[in-house]
Amino acid sequence: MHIPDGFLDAKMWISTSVLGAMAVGHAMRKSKLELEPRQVPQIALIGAFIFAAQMINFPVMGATSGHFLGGALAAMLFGPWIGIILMSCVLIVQALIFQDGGITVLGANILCNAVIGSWAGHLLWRAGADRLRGKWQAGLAFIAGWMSLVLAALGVALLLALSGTVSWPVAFGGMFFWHGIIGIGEGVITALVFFYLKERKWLVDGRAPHISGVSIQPGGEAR
Amino acid sequence: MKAKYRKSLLVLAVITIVLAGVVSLFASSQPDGLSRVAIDGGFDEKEKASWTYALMPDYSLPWLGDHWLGSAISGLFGLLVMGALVWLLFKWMAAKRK
Repeated sequence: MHIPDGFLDAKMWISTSVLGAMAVGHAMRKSKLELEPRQVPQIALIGAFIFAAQMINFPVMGATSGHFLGGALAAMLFGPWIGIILMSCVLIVQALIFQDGGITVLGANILCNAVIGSWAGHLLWRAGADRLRGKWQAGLAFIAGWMSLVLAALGVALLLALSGTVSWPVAFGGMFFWHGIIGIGEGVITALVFFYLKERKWLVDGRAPHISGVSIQPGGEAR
Repeated sequence: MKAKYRKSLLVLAVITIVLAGVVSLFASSQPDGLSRVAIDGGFDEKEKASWTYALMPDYSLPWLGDHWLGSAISGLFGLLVMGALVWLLFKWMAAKRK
């Protein structure tokens, strides 16, 4: 869900641009402290994967489509700060090279898709990952993906309503309904890819703790 | 273990290339969730592109028109740009940390 230019009024796109820039600046400082050199190729690869996966629009109830976002996946693998930077890079490349998402609303898209998307996924996952096992943990990964997409969509709805573009009930109802469905795809892909990579020792020990005693076939139970 | 890790990098890279270069050609071109809400809410005509310098608008090559080759090339080009940008940015960040 990339907001195009023209959907937000001046006060909203200017304020979200400032907030978006501040968020990215802060995330850069935090990421620098957390980054492990061995993660660099992983992050680049996941960035390319998220970009590619976002191109795949799948049909949703006939005349509508949806696609993967990736904020939860990035944050669960690398933490929310690196997640924000990674998602912002995706949004910047999409807007500048492919005209996918507007320029004046780049800050707004970063706040919703990168900041909300990464933090929602991270918080949900961290809230229960250590306490759950097996299929319950896979279920949590699914919910983290679903929630991150739905909350990002509600962030977009809020910005549309505050801009006076459309009323809050219409924005909320529509964004919640469609992204509640698209979120199922988000949750499944998040869980599948996350557990596949987790099983292959992608997580940095200590930061995104390796959970002992868990035997999960890579993502198999997420469906 | 090391081999398993290396293999996962390769598997993910292959999946990514196939997604961008092949699967993307079969992606739905129906409006996405936000576009659907805009159409139903009657504000879709508010959209106006302010950035007209995009190299490959809508993941196509303008000089190739709607040709599938344009979509495949732009998808793969996007991957390269994304991978290179993120790699360089995080390499720089890892170096600055020292």
